[in-house]
Amino acid sequence: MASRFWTAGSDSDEEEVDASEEENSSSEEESSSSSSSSSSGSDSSSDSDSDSDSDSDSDSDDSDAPKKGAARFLAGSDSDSDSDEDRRVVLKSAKDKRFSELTDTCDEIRNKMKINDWSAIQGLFDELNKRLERARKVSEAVGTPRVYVRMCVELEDFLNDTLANKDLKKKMSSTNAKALNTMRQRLKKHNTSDEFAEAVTKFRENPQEDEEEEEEEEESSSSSSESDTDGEREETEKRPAGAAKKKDKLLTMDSAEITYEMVAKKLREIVTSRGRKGTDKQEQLREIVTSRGRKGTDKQEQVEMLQFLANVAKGVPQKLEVLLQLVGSLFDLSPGISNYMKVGLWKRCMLVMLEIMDTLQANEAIVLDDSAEPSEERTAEPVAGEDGKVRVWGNLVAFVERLDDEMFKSLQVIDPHTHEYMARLRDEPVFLALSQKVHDYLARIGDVRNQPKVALRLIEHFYYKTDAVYDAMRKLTMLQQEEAAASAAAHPEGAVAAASAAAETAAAANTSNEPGEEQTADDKVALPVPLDFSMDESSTAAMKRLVGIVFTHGDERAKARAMLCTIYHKALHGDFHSARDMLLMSHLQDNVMLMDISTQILYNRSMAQLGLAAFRLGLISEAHSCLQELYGSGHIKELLAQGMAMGKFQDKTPEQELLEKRRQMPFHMHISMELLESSCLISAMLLEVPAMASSPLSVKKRVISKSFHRILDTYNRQTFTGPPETVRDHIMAATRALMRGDWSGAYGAVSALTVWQLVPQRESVLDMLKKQLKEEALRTYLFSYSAQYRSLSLDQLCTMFEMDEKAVYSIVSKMMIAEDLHGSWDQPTRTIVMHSIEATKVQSLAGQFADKATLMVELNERAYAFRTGGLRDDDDMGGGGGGRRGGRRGQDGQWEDDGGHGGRGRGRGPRLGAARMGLGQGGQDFGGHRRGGGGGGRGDRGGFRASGFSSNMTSGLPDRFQRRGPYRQQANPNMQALGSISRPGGGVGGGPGGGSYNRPLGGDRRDRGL
Amino acid sequence: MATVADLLKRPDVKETVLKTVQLDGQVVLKIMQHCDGAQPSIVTGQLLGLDVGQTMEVTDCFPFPSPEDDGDSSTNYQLDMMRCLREVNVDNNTVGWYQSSVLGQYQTQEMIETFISYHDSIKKCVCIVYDPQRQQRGQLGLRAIRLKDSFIELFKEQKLTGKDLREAGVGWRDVFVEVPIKIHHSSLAQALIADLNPAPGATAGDLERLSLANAGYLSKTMANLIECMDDMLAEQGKVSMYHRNVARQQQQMAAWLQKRNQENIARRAAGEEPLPEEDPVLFKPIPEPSALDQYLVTSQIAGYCDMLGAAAEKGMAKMYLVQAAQKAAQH
Repeated sequence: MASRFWTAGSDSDEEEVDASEEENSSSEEESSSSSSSSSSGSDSSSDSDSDSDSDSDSDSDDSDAPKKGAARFLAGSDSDSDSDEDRRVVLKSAKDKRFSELTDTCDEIRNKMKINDWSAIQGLFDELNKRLERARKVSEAVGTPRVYVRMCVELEDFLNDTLANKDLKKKMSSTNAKALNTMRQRLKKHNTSDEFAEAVTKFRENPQEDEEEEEEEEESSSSSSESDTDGEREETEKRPAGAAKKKDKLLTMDSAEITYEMVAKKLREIVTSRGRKGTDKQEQLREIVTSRGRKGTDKQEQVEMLQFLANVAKGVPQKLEVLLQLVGSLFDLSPGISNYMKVGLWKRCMLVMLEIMDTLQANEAIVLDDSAEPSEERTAEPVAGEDGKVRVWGNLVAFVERLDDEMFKSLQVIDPHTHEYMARLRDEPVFLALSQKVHDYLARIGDVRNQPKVALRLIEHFYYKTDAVYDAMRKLTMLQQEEAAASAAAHPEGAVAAASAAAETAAAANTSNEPGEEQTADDKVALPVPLDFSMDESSTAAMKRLVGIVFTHGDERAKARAMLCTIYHKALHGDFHSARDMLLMSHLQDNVMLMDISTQILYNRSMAQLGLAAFRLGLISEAHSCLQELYGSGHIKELLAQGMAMGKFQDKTPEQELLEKRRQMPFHMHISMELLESSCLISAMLLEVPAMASSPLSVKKRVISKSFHRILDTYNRQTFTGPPETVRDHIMAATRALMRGDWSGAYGAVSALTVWQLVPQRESVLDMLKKQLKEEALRTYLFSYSAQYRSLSLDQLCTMFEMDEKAVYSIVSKMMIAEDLHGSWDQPTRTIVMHSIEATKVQSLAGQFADKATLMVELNERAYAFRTGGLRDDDDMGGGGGGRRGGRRGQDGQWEDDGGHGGRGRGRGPRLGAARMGLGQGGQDFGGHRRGGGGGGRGDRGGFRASGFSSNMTSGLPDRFQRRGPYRQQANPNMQALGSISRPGGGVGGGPGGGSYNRPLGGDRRDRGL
Repeated sequence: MATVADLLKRPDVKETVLKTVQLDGQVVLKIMQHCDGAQPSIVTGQLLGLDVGQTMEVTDCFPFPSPEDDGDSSTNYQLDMMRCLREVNVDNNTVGWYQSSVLGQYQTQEMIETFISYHDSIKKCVCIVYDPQRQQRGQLGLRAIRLKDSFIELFKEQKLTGKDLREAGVGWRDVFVEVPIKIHHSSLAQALIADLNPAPGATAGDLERLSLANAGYLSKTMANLIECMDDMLAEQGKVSMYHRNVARQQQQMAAWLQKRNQENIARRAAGEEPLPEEDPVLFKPIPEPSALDQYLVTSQIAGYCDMLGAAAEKGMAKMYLVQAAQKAAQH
């Protein structure tokens, strides 16, 4: 048994020895390289780790195991030079600790493998995994440490060996065998899991190379993140050496890169070709370009390289190429789409971009073109074409878009209440300048394909800015320019030099690991606004110019977005009517559902802004129709991408949540929720209160705003209502006052809202509100209390509502025409004489009864359909439903938009539908009769309704205008159209993509039902 | 013998068909007095009389004490009353009962139950329903009600589901039967009435009958009608719920059967005993809701509709009358 143990142990030992030999050989390499470099302490410390590994392995003595820790330590301390010790202490961060822990555990496992103690291995493996997790947390690195992967592979091999050895298996103790089996399963699962499978197979494919890499990693303080440690190292190197000494830098690079043969070779080439010029550089550049994007390339190195190359490049085109590559490499430094680019890095990119633009501006013969042949296929310096232009490969637009995205992302993430956010916002002018330059450049070379893209980016920076904000921005730009000019004057070497200097510092800042340090470095990076940039006088002018470009050359999406931006912008500037016309004429609301989510959000934002604009202008019903579907959906936050909804009912997957997070609007672009809520509720109140007062008895009230009703109900159910606090409270208090016809109380409650401070034209809005409240209060008052009067004096009404005679006269007359008020003017005495024609109890009861009867017929039909079975689907899904609805409403003499649907429904279910149609009509007649009998002159009302019905059937005319009789006259076609657009407006939310955006709203659900 | 027996039986068979209810004048007056006085609560009383062939002669009645008193004393009271009446030589044969109603509401479950309990002893019992309000409006507020025999049989067997009733061919109209009422006076009383009631002169026009104010009545009836509709809707809900449940159960049953079939096929293939394909435990038949309430509500609604129709008819007639009168006055 023992001997078998030994053989098993020695099996693994051989492997170990192999590995350690490899390690040794590589560490020899390492040591040779480290002699040339001023090797950091971390290197040697990890060296010691690997040394201790090999030590213990070669020992291969079971009894040695407990001593291991100490031995390792001794070995480590032996190999450490004293001088390095200090630095090591400094550099050994939590990360290093974790990794040394990992290594320790690995060693332990190896020991246990030797004695075949599977239960112990199992425990240790768990511990190893835990440590790995911790290490990951600390290092924030995505990859798996080599040590760990190697351990996994070793374990698996050993396991297979053990399993293959049947005898050994038999002789194991039961607990051990059990542990072995568990391990087998776990390891199998573990190594084939997505996370590790790749790493493991890679390791297996090429253990040699990986060994090297691992070596390198271990050497660099056992950390997994290459760039970090490399940066660290460079920093430590650079600081004493000074950035100016390029030779030193090259040397350090050389040493650092020595394991990467290719890069090293190229670096050597650089060293040799330093004095030379021309073709060699092409080659180097090509190599860098090709190595970019490959794994294992040190991005930071590349950036340094390219920066250096940019300075030594000969010829403008080549320099441009280098710079373009530099921008790309800088982008590569940022960690991916989930995180935002560090601000310093971003600024560096901006500087390089500006430099490129300056160069392009200065050399008009050079044309950047992404269709031109890439530089790598050329060996000679590009020659001027026949037209005297030099074509250089590059895609400025992509860079600009990327920069814009990164800025957007950073604004999303940064806390909007900090100075950091403000500072970030200050960068916007520079970006605008850059975009403008790129745009101008594209215009100059006549690139109509890309020009709109940049224009759109610019538009998206302009559209949400009010005049005040725009002016402030403009001033800031000019101020920055002045400062830049002043500093340029002070340092005559010119802006470019300053920029490159700034780039240097930024590079230094970015490579540092400590966030605090980075912070300060960020602040140091000055990003001067180019002097030749000037913003347009007004945002409107800028918008107009840019939108024109997009409309002429842009693709569909760009056009739609530009259109939406324009609508938003116009609405923001109070030009409701033209904004509305644009919306209607572009038919955006028809196909916005098919667009991407960010466009849908933009659409929602535009709708919200449109609603606010209408509200400011006092166009209450328009405002309401714009806002209600947004607000009524209950998902307004999501619809406007201004925060995540705390949906209890839908569980979002993390991916969905991430997607949603990525869609969020930065804070400075937000539309005030409170303002939206107030506007929506106030418009709902202004519409709803008189409507409620006009038909207090009817069982099925026409509901204008469901959400408003809901809020009102909860408010009424409160046992105690304190002084208003929230927006809702205020508006509910106002509603109560308005219901009594107390306009001043209502105005008091509404004007106490704090949101009005956010409205630029506060006074005019409040005046408008006062006027509206007075009017609606008058109407409500007349609706509610006209029955109590025999006659009402005009003068009294004027004083009650503080309105002038004309206004009162027109409102009352309108009500009379619409048969809302049963009275007539008595001109000589200036009074309204009421003709009280309250429906008698019998009449109202008869109406009620008719409702019930219809309901019953309907239920009967449904039951019948259920019995017969065949008709059920039709009945439930739509046709019947629509017809039924139509029929029921018919009884009440009130029609909703459903009328049209009802009509369609009838078309579908001919048999039942026909019966229903008859019924609906009967109800209609009945309604007419009822009113006719009761109301004397009201008989024609039924007729009016009937005509409303037919128009509903044919044209889908929104009955908002039918219901509110007096407003019929002023209902121009546009308004009606607006009424009908509100439905798709609300349905915006639906569409492809995840999250709640999928949720169909309002109208479109009904459409789907049909 | 057989023929004699037949002959003996035949009149019996004929007798079961009750054609008229003959009320004595005093019975009517007594009922009216009792019910009017007890308004608005509903009161009941016992009808006494004789069953003579096709007519039910009701010769006397006495009121039951108000239901606040406990049941014991009321049964005692009834017996005492009967004894006393017998002593004064009144027909002490119970033939039914009378009760007051509010606006024609009488079709209730209790009414049927009372009928059934009476039916055990008195095959041809009747119920006189008196509606004081109707009477006040100048209409005879009396109606004699019986249950249909076919319905009684069904009710006794508690076969009241929609299916049973349908099979028996009993519609909602076949629950209650109204029997014509004949008011009978003794010759002496008739003479007295003739003497008391002078021929109306031209001046003593019965103007009260021309009153157009029937809105209250209409609205009350309407409200009752609406209530009935609500009940009806509730009933309808029950039925549709039942249908839905049945459908669901059938689905489950089908699924179960399919599963069992497959299982059995598998078992048969394996040579095992197939499981029974009937499982009465798993799927209890859902009891069908009683259709009685529907019938009652329906007949109640019908009653209301009749009342409304009558009232409306009268109102219209009066309107025309008034119109004509106005026209005549203008000329």
